[in-house]
Amino acid sequence: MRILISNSSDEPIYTQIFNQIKAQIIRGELDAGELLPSIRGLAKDLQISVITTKRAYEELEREGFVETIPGKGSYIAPQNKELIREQRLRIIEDSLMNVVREGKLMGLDYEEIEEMLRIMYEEE
Amino acid sequence: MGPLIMKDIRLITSNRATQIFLLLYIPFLLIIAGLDFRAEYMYMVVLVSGAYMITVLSFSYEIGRGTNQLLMSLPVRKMDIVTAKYLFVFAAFIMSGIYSGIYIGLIRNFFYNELIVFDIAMLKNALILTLFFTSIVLPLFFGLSHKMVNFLNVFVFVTLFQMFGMGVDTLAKIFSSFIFEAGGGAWGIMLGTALLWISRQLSLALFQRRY
Amino acid sequence: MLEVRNLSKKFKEGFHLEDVSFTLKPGYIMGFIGPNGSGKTTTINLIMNLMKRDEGSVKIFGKDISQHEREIKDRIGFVYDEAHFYDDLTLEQMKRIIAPFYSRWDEKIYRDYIEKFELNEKMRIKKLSKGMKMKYSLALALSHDADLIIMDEPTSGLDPIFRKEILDILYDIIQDENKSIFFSTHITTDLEQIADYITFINKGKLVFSKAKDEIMDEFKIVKGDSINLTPEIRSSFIEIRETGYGFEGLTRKAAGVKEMLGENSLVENASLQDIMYYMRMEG
Repeated sequence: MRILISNSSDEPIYTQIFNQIKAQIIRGELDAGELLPSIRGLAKDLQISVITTKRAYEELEREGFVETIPGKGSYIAPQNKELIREQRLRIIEDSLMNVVREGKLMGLDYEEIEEMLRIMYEEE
Repeated sequence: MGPLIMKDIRLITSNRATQIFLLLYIPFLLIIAGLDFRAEYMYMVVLVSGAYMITVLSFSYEIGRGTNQLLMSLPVRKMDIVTAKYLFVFAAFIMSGIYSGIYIGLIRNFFYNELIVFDIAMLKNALILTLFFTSIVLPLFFGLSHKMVNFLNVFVFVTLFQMFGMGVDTLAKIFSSFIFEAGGGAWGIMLGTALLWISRQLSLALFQRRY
Repeated sequence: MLEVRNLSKKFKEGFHLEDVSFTLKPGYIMGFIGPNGSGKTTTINLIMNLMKRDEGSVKIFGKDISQHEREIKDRIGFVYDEAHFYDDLTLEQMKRIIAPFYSRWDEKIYRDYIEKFELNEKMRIKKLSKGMKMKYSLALALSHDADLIIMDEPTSGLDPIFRKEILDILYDIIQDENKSIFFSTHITTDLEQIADYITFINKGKLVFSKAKDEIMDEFKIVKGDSINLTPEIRSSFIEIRETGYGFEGLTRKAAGVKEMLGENSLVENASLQDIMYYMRMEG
């Protein structure tokens, strides 16, 4: 599990942790059943406060990404495959939305955007 | 209680300055007394002076250096601190008694045969004297500020030295008075102990008032 | 674990500590900040019962410190700024005096710390550098299984390397969720990372006591052009500092202010130092 904290970002630290862990779960980099570091151990390694890591874990639990068993620790919850797929689709939709917006601002029409997409798809 | 008393003993014996002081104060007292001072009272006066000085030394760390914060952070009650100091006086008495005895004994053997070293009557008188003395002085240590305590010490030492200066007859009169003689000294000891207990309550009150 | 309620003390010389309240639960670190003379040391002295309080209560481990002084202090590790040790003694002699006072003294843990801190037990305390004295202080405080560690300006006068080392030690302590640390300091940067809660005291009164994350969310620095400062915008700030180049201020209403100022403004995180500075009139 990789976590990189930026102290100078606008985003509160617990949000950064939350987002990074969530993203890794969605991308499949973290598997169901995997044990997360303890909130205190994580706080020490990242050199932040315990409350911050606690809050991040609590958010993750609330959203169903993580399960905490008292006395044992926090585990990645088995993810609903459908839900994950939907999340990933939504991320793509957001990107596409950006593309459409930017394109319209520039004055591109649909065909030009489609052409760009086709070229990129074939190159990749 | 134990750790508190041990603390004072360790402190006193660990410092170079106090070690030298403890080494030299007896000859110093003897010199002040002068060799025409009657040997009978020598041991007793040295004993009491020694006990007093050792007790004063034990206060010097707390009063002088502001190490009260350390003491107050340790798991001790104020009552324990005060009681320990009173018990320490007895420890000082015993230490002084043995130490003076040996020291004077050595001096006697090598220098001055006239010195009388050990005498039960003297021991008893010394104990009674110490009890009364301590009862008066200790509350002052607990209640007065640092500077005042230093003045007090000067005053006490002067008084002690006066004892050296008193004629033997005066001393004999004092020590055959009621306090020292009645019941073979038992009254004196009981009275002294009662006074000590009252003194301890007073010290505790003074100490708590400051904190 | 540590519960202070309505703590007050009046001094003859005019300084008053008034109605200070805060709570620290087990497993967390609380930073105690405030300018010089704000009452930090007085508060700590009152917590440790070094002074008699006029009003209020201090409960540690659920018990009143005035009633259960000995059993409470047995479980507190106390670290001072000017380590009030008997300077002429060696580390070993000092330990021999202190260890018997504690019921849960662990000689092995003490030795481990001495080794870890690279201290020489035969050395006299007065010969130690400030940083070494602090580490020794910590070693003593941590060797009797204390549940609450109280530190009064432990890092002042220490170089940054030492300070970081001490923070690492604190992180290790807090791995045990039954222990808490209460840490008063000027050096707010030390707290910014590690503290869970911050209590800010000024002029003898409590300014706030809350979770550090909340504080960071609540207070922001907003910078911009002085021209755009309308009275309405000014009133949204706790305080503003104006220079020839623009203004900078602390606010609780960053979102609203940003909207009013528009593009010509910058919103940044406020450091604890900023907060202390801009709020120095409070209390």
